[in-house]
Amino acid sequence: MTLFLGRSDAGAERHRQHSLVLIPMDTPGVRIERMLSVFGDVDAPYGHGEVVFDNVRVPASNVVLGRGRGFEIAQGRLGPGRIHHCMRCVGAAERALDLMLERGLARTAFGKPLLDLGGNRERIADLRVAIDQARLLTLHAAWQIDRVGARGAQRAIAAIKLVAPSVLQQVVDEAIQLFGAAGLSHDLPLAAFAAQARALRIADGPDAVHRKTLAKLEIAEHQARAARRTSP
Amino acid sequence: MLLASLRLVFAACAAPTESSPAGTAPRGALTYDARLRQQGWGMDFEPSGRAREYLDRVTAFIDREVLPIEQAVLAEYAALDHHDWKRWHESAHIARLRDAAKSRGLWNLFLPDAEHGAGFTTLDYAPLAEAMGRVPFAAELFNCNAPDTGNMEVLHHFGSPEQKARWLAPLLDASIRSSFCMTEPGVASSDATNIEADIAFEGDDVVVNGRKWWIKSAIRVAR
Repeated sequence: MTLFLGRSDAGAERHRQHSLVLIPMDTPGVRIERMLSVFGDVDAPYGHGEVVFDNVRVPASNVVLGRGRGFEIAQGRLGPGRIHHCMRCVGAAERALDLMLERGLARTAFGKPLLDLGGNRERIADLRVAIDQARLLTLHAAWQIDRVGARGAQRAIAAIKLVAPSVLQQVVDEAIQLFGAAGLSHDLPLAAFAAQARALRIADGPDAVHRKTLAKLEIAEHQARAARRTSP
Repeated sequence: MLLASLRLVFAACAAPTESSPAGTAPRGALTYDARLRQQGWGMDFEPSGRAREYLDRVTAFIDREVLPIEQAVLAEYAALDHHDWKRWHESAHIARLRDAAKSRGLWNLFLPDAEHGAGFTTLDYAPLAEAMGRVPFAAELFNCNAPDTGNMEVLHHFGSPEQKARWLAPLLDASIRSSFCMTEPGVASSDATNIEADIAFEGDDVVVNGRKWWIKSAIRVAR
């Protein structure tokens, strides 16, 4: 089954134009045209498809919540989904740091453990702090979602979606560098984590959209503070 | 002496002031954390005892069952000719471990609803999802993977009783899989109001036309 977002009411207000329909994938007219690759790879475990819908007919009872409600559902759907991605990013970053330490302590070059070469200890310290910051921001967003729901926690969700994938990207990149060429292969999970981090800076809202949300809220709060200061 | 005075400082910071007692925060443009900043409310990230217990179990499962086969699964998927989608198949390791996790009750941990899911708060789920994140494919062993989780949430919150019976129940059971078709090659889909695939209401039916891409999981829904 797929949840399909499309435009049902072009004349309606901008956020009431779309509907969400449940479509079984074996309905006549649905076809996977090709599989896309991520950095030339399958993006395991199940990758991404390009799918064509050609006069696909399903009962109107398959519409979720009602005509014109698709946009609000799609937006709501992404709140918890975004933070779940960030939680997993923190775990992936921890694993990458673990692997980096293991390798850095076990291998030697130029008469020293890799960890003692070329600023690697300082790098470990910086990555540890970056991961902890990302985790605290993730927990903060989670705590807010539980107290006021995803809409009220909008700012915290935007903040962590901006931070966690980038922190994972940074940690994985340093881990790969310390491993050398082995880090590029599927002998380690690092290549998969690198693809995950890079993709997540685009998926479920690209970085720029989350910055836009944060800036909008920041400006609104600044104006509210200014108004309070000047009100009698 | 020093400790006692530190405690006093913390108490003073944490106590609601007379002018803005907790619970009567001004509304309007202020976000939740702006109100928090104003009022000096605390933050508590302590997981529940039950979440701690599950974290131990999820971590042990990943350490003992998943990590030993991680490299084999990554190699297996890397060797697939995924450009021919009909040749894709799920790793037998994944199917086996999904059954194992399910039989141990390590299942649907993402869903806060206690009847259909594990009943964890978002905060309690955070360390569990973090533990799953340590292995690239681990989330799906616990039925906690995107895009199925988001779709289950949609059906849980907004689905009709018929829709829930037909799709939510089997998704919670992992007997069917799902995808989410939003992104389109023809428009900047970062602005969701651009989405232009057509849905026409015709009598008791809807007729759908359009092209979607980056549809994660479409391959395992179709197979």
